[in-house]
Amino acid sequence: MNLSPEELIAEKSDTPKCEIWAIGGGKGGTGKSFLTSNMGTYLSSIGKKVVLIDADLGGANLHSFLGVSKPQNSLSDFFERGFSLEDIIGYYGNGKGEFGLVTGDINSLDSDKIKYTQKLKLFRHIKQIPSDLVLIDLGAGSHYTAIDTFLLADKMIVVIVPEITSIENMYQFVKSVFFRKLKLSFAQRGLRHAFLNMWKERSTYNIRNLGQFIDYLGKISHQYRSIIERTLNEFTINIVVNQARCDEDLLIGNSIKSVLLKYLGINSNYLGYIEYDDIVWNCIRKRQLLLQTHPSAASAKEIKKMTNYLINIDEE
Amino acid sequence: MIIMDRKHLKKYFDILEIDPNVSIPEIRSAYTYLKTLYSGNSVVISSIHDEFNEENRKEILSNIEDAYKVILKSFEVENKKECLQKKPLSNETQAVLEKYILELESYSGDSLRQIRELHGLDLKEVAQCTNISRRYLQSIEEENFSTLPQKVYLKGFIISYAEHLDLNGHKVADDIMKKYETWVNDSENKNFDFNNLK
Repeated sequence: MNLSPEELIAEKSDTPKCEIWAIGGGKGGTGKSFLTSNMGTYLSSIGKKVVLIDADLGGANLHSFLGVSKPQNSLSDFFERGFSLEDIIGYYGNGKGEFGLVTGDINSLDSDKIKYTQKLKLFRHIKQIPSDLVLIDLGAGSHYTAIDTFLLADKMIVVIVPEITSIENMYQFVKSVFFRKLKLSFAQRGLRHAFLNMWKERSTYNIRNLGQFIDYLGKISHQYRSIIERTLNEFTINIVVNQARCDEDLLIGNSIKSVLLKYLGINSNYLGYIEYDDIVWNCIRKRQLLLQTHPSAASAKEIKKMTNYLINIDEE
Repeated sequence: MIIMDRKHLKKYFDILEIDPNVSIPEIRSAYTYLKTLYSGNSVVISSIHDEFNEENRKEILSNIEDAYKVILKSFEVENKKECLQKKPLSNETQAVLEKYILELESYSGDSLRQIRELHGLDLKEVAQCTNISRRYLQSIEEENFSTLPQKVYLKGFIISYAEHLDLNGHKVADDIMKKYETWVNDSENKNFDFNNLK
């Protein structure tokens, strides 16, 4: 049987063994690795089993943020030498707990080199990692690997800094992810071609953006509308504002939440902000973890608060 | 007296992105926040320019306006509050007012007070019609910024107040916000307590 990429992703596999969080957001340098490393080690310090995956295509350096050396094996060994995912997880003790780390390298996730089926195999194996939580640090960019990896997650987190370029890239990323998810929802009901045709013909109907396209789709039939509603219900973005310098920066999270809802119908949580702090910069330079060296800094407390919120959100 | 069941208003509370159980000041803050966000040139809006056009901006703003009005109306029914119509001005007062405004280089809190007094309004009446508390109105007139809420809310309050006095709300707000900025820069001993801001 010839399945489309969307149908392959949607294919039911075994029940997942772990909860997956993905940290992305389009632009580079907004603090994704910083957040992943501190959230991850905090989770391990409170007794959770955690594996961190560095899926940054261009510059995998999560290990530097964690202050450890790279694990012996990388995703290249998984793709090219038939290693199992568990074989390439490096385990590190951090005094209070232990965490696992998987790194890619510049070759291992090169989209030209890995076949689509290999990527799906990786996704299936990630879901089977015997751990409480798996945190995936996505690199910059809105390429398909980043989008699909983001969609794999139970909790989708975007990190932005209060700058126009970062906010623009984040919107673009969120829109690409949602579009992909919507296409997937239609494909699961055998409507892949119908969906793609409507998208292709959109200019005929004077549709100029995603918001208008969603509106248009919803008016076609009850079935379409219920697919859209269900997809929107299952889709929540968690927003983190990093390097906040003034009170106006803090409100950016609220404003983005409003804009995503009003223009696209997309729900989001404003998880919180990390204030601009030289301590953070110093920690990164010294390859130290903020939460270990400065646990009482405001930024450290905020990261703990956000992490605890994400752990408990399902119980509410 | 009819007491509105707030559940019927859920649609409107959703537009203002608030829970139906919030208090009037929270409703007002939410309204002011959204109104300022969607009428201004926030970076958060300009970054998503491809999803946005004047048409949907207008639609969003009018939805916000309607939602606020409907919700306030329900509270008015609950509280029997009335906003009295402004009395028409005599020709003489009108002339004085126009001359005063014409000679004004930029608006200040004190000029708002003078214009209000020319209209023969007291703070209580303005408060009832604008739904801004008397305390805030007075602080705006006195430019007592430390007792006023955050910038975005403050700007919305000034716009509403100025429009109630038939002034160009944005012009007045821009002038007074310049003074606000100066005040912010002057109080450089900014011991920002980030935790209080959220």
